[in-house]
Amino acid sequence: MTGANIGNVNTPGYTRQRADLVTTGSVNVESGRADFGVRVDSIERLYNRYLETQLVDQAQKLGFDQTRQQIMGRVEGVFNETGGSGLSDSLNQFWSSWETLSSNPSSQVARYAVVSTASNLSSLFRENSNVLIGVQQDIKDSMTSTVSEINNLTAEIAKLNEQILATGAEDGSSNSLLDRRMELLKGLSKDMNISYYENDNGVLSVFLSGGRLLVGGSSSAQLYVNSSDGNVTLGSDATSLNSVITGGRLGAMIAMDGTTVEDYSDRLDRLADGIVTAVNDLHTTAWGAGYKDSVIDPPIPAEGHVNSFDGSVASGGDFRGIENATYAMKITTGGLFGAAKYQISTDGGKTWGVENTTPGSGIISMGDGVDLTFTNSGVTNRLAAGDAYYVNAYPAGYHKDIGPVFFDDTATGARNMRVGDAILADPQNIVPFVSGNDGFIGNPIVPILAEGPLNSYDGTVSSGGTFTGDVNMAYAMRITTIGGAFGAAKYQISTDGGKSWGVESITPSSGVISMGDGVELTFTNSGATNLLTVGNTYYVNAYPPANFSTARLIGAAKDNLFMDGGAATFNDFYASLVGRVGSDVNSIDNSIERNTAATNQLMARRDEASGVSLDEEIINLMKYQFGYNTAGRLAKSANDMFDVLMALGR
Amino acid sequence: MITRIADNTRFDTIAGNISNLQDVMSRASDQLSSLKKINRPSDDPEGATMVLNLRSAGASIEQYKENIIGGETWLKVTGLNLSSINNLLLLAEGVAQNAQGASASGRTTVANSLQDSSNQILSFANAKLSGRYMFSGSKTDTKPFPDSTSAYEGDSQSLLVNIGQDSSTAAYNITGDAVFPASTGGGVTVFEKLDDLIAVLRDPVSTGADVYDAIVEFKAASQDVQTLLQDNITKTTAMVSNLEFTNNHLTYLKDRVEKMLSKSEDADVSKLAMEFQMQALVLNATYTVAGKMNEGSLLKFLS
Repeated sequence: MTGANIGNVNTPGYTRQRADLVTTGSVNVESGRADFGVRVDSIERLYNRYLETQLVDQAQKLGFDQTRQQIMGRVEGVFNETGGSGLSDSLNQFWSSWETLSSNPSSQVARYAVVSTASNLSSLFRENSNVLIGVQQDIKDSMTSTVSEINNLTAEIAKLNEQILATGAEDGSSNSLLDRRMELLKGLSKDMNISYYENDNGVLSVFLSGGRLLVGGSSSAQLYVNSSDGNVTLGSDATSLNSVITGGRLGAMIAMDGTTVEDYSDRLDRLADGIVTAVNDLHTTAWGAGYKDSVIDPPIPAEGHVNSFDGSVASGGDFRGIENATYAMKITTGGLFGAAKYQISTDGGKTWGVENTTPGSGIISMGDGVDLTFTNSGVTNRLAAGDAYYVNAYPAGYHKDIGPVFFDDTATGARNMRVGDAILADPQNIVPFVSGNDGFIGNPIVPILAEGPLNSYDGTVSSGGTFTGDVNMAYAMRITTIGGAFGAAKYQISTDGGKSWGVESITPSSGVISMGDGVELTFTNSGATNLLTVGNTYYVNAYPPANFSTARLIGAAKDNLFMDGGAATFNDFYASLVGRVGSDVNSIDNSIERNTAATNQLMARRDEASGVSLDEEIINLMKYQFGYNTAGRLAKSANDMFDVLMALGR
Repeated sequence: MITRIADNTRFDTIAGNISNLQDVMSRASDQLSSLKKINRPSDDPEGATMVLNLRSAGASIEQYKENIIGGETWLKVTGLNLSSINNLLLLAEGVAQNAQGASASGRTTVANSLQDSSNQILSFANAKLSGRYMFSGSKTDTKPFPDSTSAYEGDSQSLLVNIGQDSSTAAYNITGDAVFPASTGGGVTVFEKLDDLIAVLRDPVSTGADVYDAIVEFKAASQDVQTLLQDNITKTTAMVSNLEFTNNHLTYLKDRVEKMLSKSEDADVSKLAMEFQMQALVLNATYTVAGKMNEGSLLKFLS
């Protein structure tokens, strides 16, 4: 037995054995019976069941963490920015190159620099994305080998169950089988989270979490893994067990593949897509200065009629139209809100829609998201028939197509990020600057009729000139007194869409009226009367040229909150991704440290009970040797005594 | 308390300790060789995020400073060009004065000299810097004053550079229409008046009064332009000093960012070296213990 113990001092999982000695071969003596003989009754395993259970559990935790650590080691490499050549620096260089181009739009070197930093950035995104994809594929491959290892383990445990049952567990003859099975169980637990149960016959049953039987008696069930979607299944049942396998190496692989790495990959994709979209938006389309300002002018009263509403009136809402529009609302039947009737015009009063009853709320929808809100703060709050309100709405700027896409936009995701073909073919296709009036779309004339008189001019009216203003403007011209032919009729100009009017002047006989900032309204005498009538009103909306430095705006995009629904810049987003990876690795490292310490402690406890101490065995050896020597001495003494007796009898 | 020490326990403990120490040593030597506290994101996740943010901020500031230097250069050259135009106009006024009471040939000489001035002023007004017209607003690829009779072809837009986060920008140009007022005829007053004067001087039938009137009109236009030139030269100086102020502020910020960056990522070498030595000592001690492991055996004593 001591020999077995010494021989197995380095066998993993070997449980120290002790021979149970019992006396035998008693003889009758005068005073009673004396026990002379001894025999080995059984061989006992010095074994602590409680510690072994904990070790099995700990193996599972350690397996889980170690696998996660191995995988994260590769992932962390992708996000290692400390050397200063990672994605973050590449991103900084990319933004800088645009600003440099913005300062030197005609520089060839600056253009090439933009293309080269963009190519570097894209290739880093692709590379990093491919590493993550590779990690995920490798995880799936490892899952296959881990599952086949699990299948071998369960098959072997089942076989051992059979042998243990056949040998019988009591007399110690199956000790080595039990040791072996416990080692296999620890191996299995390292691979995945399991629960198990040993019955009185020494047969071990192993279950998956959730109760599915993995080993029952001498039979075991096979696990399978689908290498494309990474789903683990049991036997012929196609139900995925991925949500059940949450521990051990296999659990770690499932969690890493499906959740952690997937999440990093997804974030990297979102970052790449965000950059591609932001840069392409700026590079393909120049927006007028009116961009994103849905200017809604306060209402103006109709000519020739005093508005009777003595509360306050405001326009609001979010204009969704794509073209300038002048909305009008007129009261057709007077009275309080809820009783008075109204009509809406979407063309500044030229044509009117159906008659409706005003809502009691006082909020009247003009269309395209524009609301006119009447607040009941006056005395009468009455609407009189003929009251009219105008609202000028401007769309989110006019725009102009300026260049090809900078980044290829045919496929999304970090793995597909690349500079567009047109840009790669010729950096001249980069548009660093949209100069001057290129962005100017025109100044459409919107001649509308004032409420009341008909537009009497029967020639043609057009707008023209070069607009020199720098914000969207709505000009208006109205005939105030006399009426009649050009040169006699008087007019006023409004530069705020008709809210306030300038001084009265006599119309020039040329028929060309300057509205201000270079915008002109030209009346061409081609009709029969050519007369102007008091109350005739003409509106001209003008848009400034798109003074648009594409390169500067792209350079500034780094500070825009494009990510996380307007909460983070690209750099912030990436930095927090790196932080997330770092803290994931960190917490795994800490967990490993903790679990390793716990395992070592348990191992020491286990070895305290079951491990072999050579010193102890040597002492045992000496003890048994001494016993043997003494027994030999006894035998020799007995022999000597017999010799004496024999000599006496001779 | 453990009362029975199995041989596996003794060896495993030593092996575990050695591996722990080697890990600590390797991290310390990573830090020593890179001189950085953070060598992978997991060393200090928050610190790593901070370092990246600070590096981005540093790169942005660096770029803003470059932008400012570009803008300053543009403004300084603009100021020089405006001064040159101013001097040329003053000179032209003096030359024009000589035409009064001059002979026919004298008038021609003056006219030729004024033509040269006109061309020179135009060439300054059409000056380019790094391939872009300086005085045509945002239409930097359009010649602002094609000739002395045409209107200003540029626009009134500012050229902008980014000088800070939240899209703060600074303008760095003076547009041609700000210094050369347009005439009612669609051209530029001062060029038209100069052309008129030259035409009068070259016209043999011009009287002394004609010449006088033309000189007076040219001088009036020239003076208007000079006032505007002075205003805009002052404006460029103010813009340059604003940019310089921003630049100084950015220099200060950059310094702060670099200090913070150094604090976040630079390793404390002397402290590290101490730690490294200490760990090396402990490791050596452990090796010694490991080497003597067998000596503590009963077997050794017996043999």
